[in-house]
Amino acid sequence: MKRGAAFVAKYLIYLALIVCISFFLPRLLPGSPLSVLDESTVSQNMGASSQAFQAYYAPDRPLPEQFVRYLGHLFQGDLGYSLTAKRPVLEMIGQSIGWSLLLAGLSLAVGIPLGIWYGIRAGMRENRRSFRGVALVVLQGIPVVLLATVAQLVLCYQLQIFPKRGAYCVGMTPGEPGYWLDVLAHMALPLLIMTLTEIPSIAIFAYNSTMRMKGEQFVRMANYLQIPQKVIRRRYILPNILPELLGKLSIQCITCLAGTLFVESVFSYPGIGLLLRTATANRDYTLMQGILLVVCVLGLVISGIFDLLIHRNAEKC
Amino acid sequence: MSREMLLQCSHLTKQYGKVAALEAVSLALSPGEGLLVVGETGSGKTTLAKVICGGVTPDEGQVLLQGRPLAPSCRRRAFGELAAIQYIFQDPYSAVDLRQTVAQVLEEAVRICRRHRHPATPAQRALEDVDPALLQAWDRPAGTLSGGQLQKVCVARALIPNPKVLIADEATSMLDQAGAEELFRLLGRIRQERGVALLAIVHDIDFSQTFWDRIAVFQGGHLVEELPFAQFSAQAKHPYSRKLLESYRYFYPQEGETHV
Amino acid sequence: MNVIHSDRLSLGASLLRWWSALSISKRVCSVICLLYLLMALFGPVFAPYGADDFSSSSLLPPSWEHLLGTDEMGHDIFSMLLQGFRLSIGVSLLAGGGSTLVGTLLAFASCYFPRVGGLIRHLANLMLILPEMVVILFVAIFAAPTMANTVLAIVFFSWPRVFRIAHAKILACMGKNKVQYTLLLGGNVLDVARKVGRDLYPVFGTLLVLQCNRAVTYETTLAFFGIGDPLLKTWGRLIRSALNYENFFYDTTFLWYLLPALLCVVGFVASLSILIFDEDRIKDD
Repeated sequence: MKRGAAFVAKYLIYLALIVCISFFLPRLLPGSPLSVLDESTVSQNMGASSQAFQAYYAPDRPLPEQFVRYLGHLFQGDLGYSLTAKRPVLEMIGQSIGWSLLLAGLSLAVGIPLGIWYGIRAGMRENRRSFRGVALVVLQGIPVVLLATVAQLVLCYQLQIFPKRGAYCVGMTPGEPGYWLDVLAHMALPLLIMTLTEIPSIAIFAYNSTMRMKGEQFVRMANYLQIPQKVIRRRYILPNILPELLGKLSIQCITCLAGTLFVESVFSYPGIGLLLRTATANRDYTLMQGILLVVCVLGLVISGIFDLLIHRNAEKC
Repeated sequence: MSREMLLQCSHLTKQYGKVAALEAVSLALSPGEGLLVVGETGSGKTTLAKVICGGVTPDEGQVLLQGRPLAPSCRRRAFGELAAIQYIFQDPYSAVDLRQTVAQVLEEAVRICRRHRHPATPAQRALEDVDPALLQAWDRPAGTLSGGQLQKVCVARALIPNPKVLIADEATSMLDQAGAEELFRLLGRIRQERGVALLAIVHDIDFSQTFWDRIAVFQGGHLVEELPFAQFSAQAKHPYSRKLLESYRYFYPQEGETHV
Repeated sequence: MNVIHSDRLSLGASLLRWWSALSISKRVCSVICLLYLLMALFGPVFAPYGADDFSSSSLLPPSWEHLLGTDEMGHDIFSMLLQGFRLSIGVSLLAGGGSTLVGTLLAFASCYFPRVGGLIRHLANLMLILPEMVVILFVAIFAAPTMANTVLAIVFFSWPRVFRIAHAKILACMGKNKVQYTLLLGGNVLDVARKVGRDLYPVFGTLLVLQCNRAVTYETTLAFFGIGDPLLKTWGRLIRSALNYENFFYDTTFLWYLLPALLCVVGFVASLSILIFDEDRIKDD
């Protein structure tokens, strides 16, 4: 019970810190319209900014009062109004988050098993070259946005294999026949890109762990006893690399979250990534702040889930 | 009486999780005394040594140097206190940066002493005191020396701050029989020449070495027996002490005795 | 196992030994990286036009006068690409070097001062949970759009990765007997740092390359979102400009507008990745 309380406390503190970061960061950055350090910019922007901006941020009020207002807003679920779309930020994010989670979730569901399978399999083979580590490392290094852009350019526009943008053809609604097929068709390429960027990292990790396990006495013994490779994989190696793997996967899921946002930006997929593109293009501060908060909280949730899984796994042993 | 005591450990207790490494251990060391600490692995000998040096903070109890209590952690001790107690590691190859030359290894100690304006034996003198033959290895990387030679360099390094206490923690475990004997002879000679108190932690006792003053037996974190060395074979009562004696006599039967 | 050198090697001899231990692919990559660095230093000298010179006609295809054609404003793309070498690699080195330095120093400080170290570790753990790219974007949007801010934002949010690895390694190193000796003799921070550094400098080198690699990705992604100084044409900016061109998807302009900058980025990233790729034990972050 004590450990449960410590766990909850830790994550509550993290949550509080995220809220503080979300509040203080804009105000500490030089050149920011909310900057408390740079008086000149503030007065410049005061005139230029809109009513909505003033109402939500109240930059002319003292700092503690701003903070209290901010907390109050958060508790009421008010993330402000988007400066460009003139709609509540929470509503915009709420509509988009489903698509993002769908894309991210599917890519993880496909990428993680594939990566683990590939890594373990290659690790157990004698021939090191078959792992193609170089190709994987290079693939891992390429920025996602570039990969997605090139894929979109070549496969969607030039070769016209995949749909160009969006999650479904304009005009289609969920009730119509062929809607889900359309959704799948539009999701195919983003999903492919996402999976391609996830597999290298996981495969490399699984490969390293397997190579380490291979040297262990009990695995050598299993090989000596001629236990079939499939059984070794499943019963000997996988359970033993699981704790470290879970830690790695935790980080991987968070990276995947960011990657999803970028892929969506490129493909105009109606998830949070598209909102991100709008926010950055138009300097939509409230939207940006809302996105940051939501994404960070998501990261926290993911980390918490994996923390629990790791503990459960550790207790079982 | 306590003014005569150079080093005094009083009720030292240390627990690692559920394991009690030290349980209310009290021990004293007089100036220039030779104390042999014996016990099996895990009986708390190394923990005791580390607590005395300040490498490990005890849960309870304290260490006194010439009547003054020492801070539990070496980070908070005065330099004079740190220099007075020197520790010799079990594995000489891990105690030294093998890529440095012997000169550099020794110069590090000199440099630190000088920084604190503490009187230090010059590096070459210290090495000469230990073994003049080693002067030839002055510019050689430490990693090229043999175990015995390197351990002697470590002893020389320990002598540089002019310590009052030398703690040799299983300093001969990694050496062969000849090397071990040579190192013990060296430690005994240093004790005589410099008047340094010696606390040697060992696995097995060589009762033929008669220069020890006292012997302390450890088991399971407890100090179970403490006797003058000369009277140990006669007066040892604890079952573990008797076992030690028996195993010694088994391997080195005295004249007139038959082994079991 | 420690490799025992028979004598202290000079810098040249060390370099030679390092070179001869490399595989062919790594040697190729080292040469490529060196070429990139040389281009960063001397490339813009050979630019036929100034990067700001937009006197030419717009959207010309490649010719002898304009090796890579011109953009919508009339800038010579080839000159901009050459300028991009200096800018992108410069950002990479500054941001990568900065975050490695900060991460390593903080890691050492938290090992040497355990109580403060606990706090720093918690902070690093929290920052690792947050998707750093998103936070960097956030920061970059609010801050004034200068190159310095971009570099600072990257340094500020990517040091935790360095910290985590460096902390584990430094802690393990400080537990070694030789470092314990220095501590027991009252050695100060510098003494300990010197001993630890002698053991771990290869690790720090690898971390530096890793961070430079990441910095390029960050900068490219930031530029993709239109963040950063619009006048300083890094490769990422160039790619963004290419994407902004309205007919980008429909004609062949991308071949000389987008592709060169893209290849430069990918080439740089790939070479760095292969350089630190260890066949025996592939490094994962």
